[in-house]
Amino acid sequence: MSSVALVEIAKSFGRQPALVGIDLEIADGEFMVVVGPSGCGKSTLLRIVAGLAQPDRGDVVIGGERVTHWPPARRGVAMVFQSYALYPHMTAFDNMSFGLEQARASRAEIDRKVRWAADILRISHLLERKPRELSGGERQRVAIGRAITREPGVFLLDEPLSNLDAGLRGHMRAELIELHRRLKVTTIHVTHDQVEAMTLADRIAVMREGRIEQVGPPLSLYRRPVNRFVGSFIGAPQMNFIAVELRGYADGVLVVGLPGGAELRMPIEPEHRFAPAASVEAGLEIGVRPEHLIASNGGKADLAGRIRLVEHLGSATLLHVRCPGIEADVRIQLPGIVSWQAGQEIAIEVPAAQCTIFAAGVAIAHGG
Amino acid sequence: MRAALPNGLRAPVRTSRPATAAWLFLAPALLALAIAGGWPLVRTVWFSLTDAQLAGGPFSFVRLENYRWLLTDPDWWRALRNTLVFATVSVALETALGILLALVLDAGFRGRSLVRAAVILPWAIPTVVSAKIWAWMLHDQFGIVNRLLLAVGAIERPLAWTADPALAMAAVIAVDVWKTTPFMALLTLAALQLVPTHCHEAARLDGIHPVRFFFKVTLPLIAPALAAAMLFRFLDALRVFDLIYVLTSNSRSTATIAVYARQQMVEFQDLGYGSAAASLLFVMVTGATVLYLAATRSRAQESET
Ligand SMILES: Nc1ncnc2c1ncn2[C@@H]1O[C@H](COP(=O)(O)OP(=O)(O)O)[C@@H](O)[C@H]1O
Ligand SMILES: [Mg+2]
Repeated sequence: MSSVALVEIAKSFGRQPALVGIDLEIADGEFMVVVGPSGCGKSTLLRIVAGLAQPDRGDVVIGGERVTHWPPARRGVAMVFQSYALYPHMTAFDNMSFGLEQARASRAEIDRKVRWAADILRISHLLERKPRELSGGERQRVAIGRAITREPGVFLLDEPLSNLDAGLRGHMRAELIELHRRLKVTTIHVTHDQVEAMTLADRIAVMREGRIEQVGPPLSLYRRPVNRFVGSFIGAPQMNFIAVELRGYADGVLVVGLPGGAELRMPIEPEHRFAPAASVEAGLEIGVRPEHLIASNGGKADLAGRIRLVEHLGSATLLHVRCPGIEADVRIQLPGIVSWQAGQEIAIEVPAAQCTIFAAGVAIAHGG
Repeated sequence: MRAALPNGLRAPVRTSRPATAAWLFLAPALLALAIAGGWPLVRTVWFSLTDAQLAGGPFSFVRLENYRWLLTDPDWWRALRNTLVFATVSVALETALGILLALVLDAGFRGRSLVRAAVILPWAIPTVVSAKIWAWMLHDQFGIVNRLLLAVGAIERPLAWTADPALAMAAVIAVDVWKTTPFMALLTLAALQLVPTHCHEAARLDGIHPVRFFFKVTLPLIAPALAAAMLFRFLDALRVFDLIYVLTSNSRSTATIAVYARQQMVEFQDLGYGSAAASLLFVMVTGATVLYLAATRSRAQESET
């Protein structure tokens, strides 16, 4: 097992920068999920850890050793590719044993390792099949099996679930968690799916345009996003953003006014406490998640509007509400099935404890 | 079934006999083939059973007499040997070099598409033209090949590449390899796309040596496409005429069956005898094709079960 550290990694393709100064530390045995939109440099990052690509600058450290210029095979990493990259003409068994033969393991040893991995992944009955005789989920397991037979110190997964249908994806997520609990191998899992990130990760690194925006445990990213991008990327349905007015800014407390006139008071984050008021005033908005808004029945009403659309999800209901003075619809998610209908007037309570205030896209105050 | 179709749509009348439609579509091509290929073939086989002369005149039916002569003619056996040597050696070299070239072209490098286009040039030039170019380059007194070899001191005297019986076959094969390697390379390049993306990288992570990867992964994957290309080239090589005739005319050391048949028919005016030689060549080519089809079919059935 090994820890991984990336130190100021930069990489460009021609003039196009793909990674810009990446610093990331992954503890021994940790499950790190790197999440970000397509094209933000996740695969490039993973390939640099694997040694399949060379960074222009910076260092890769695995298990305390600076491995930046080591060949891939020496790094003790195993990778599962999005396309699985199975050898089409070989059986599942041969796919899993091919790399081991190279390591000069004995026949019995290879056989034992393959059967051990097949047993964990429950594909023992499929070992004689070729990839084209396997379903997508089964191929996925063989690809993972091939990686774990090598008993790697670091396990790299590049969007391994993105080719599976939704049901199977949920199932494989659970299996990956189980696998990690059992093997405790340091894992870097790359995905563009924030649900995958939230459910799998010990810690998540959110990437955008070749930079890491925030690193932290899933719930801390959910509660305290450092900027608008992380706020909108993590969590579904997406966070609401509502432009607000600056009403007061003193003694570390920020007072903002919602379009309807209601006021919210929140403590400013220490690092933003001494910013000049003018810099705070620019592009001020609150971010609040649909599941945190409350449909107010005669109680406190911070916002009021007319319901434009009702989405019944069964377990929850999503209301799209058009409020005067707010550009986009405000979305509220209520638990279960509700009787609200399109066209009705609704009053909404905004709990300050669940809000984040952004100034020019940067989070300066968290309610929670 | 029909009841389930929406109104206004009628089920095709002969759904149970799709073969009929297939034959109908094939009919024009088959007709053209029969006129352009079948009739001359039948005529050739028929002439091979007569003592007809090219200039015409009365002739008679001699049954298998021409074939009996053929099999006792040392020149025929020589032509058969030349044909097989030429076909086997040139196809083997073209395949090996073609694979190497394809692997180089498959690797990413700057200007790759330009090189790919340039590589096909030898194949695009008509054989007679490139054979003539090579005839000049290989010319014993004025050829650039001798000039260069003399300049670097590889040879002491000019060599008669196309006239020297010891060199002629090698020269002819070399020119064919020059011309046809690009063809094999491009076919191999297409087949290389069968290796799934990232397989190379998975192998690199496992520390699998590129040579081992080639023999264990790449080669098995491209083998079927490669075999078809080799067969195609082999059949083509069995019929070789223009290259050899332009470079070495009727030289005994390189004359193939096609050259031999032409000599009998045109120079010796013996239409019947020449036809017999041509017919035997046809039998050889057909035989090789049938063997290949049988082999691939039985393999296909094997993998199905
Ligand atoms: N081999 C390459 N050559 C040129 N550009 C590349 C190459 N690989 C990736 N890129 C570019 O680098 C950026 C990041 O790509 P990638 O790491 O694959 O993103 P992700 O995996 O997050 O979708 C993209 O803009 C992509 O077009
Ligand atoms: Mg990617």
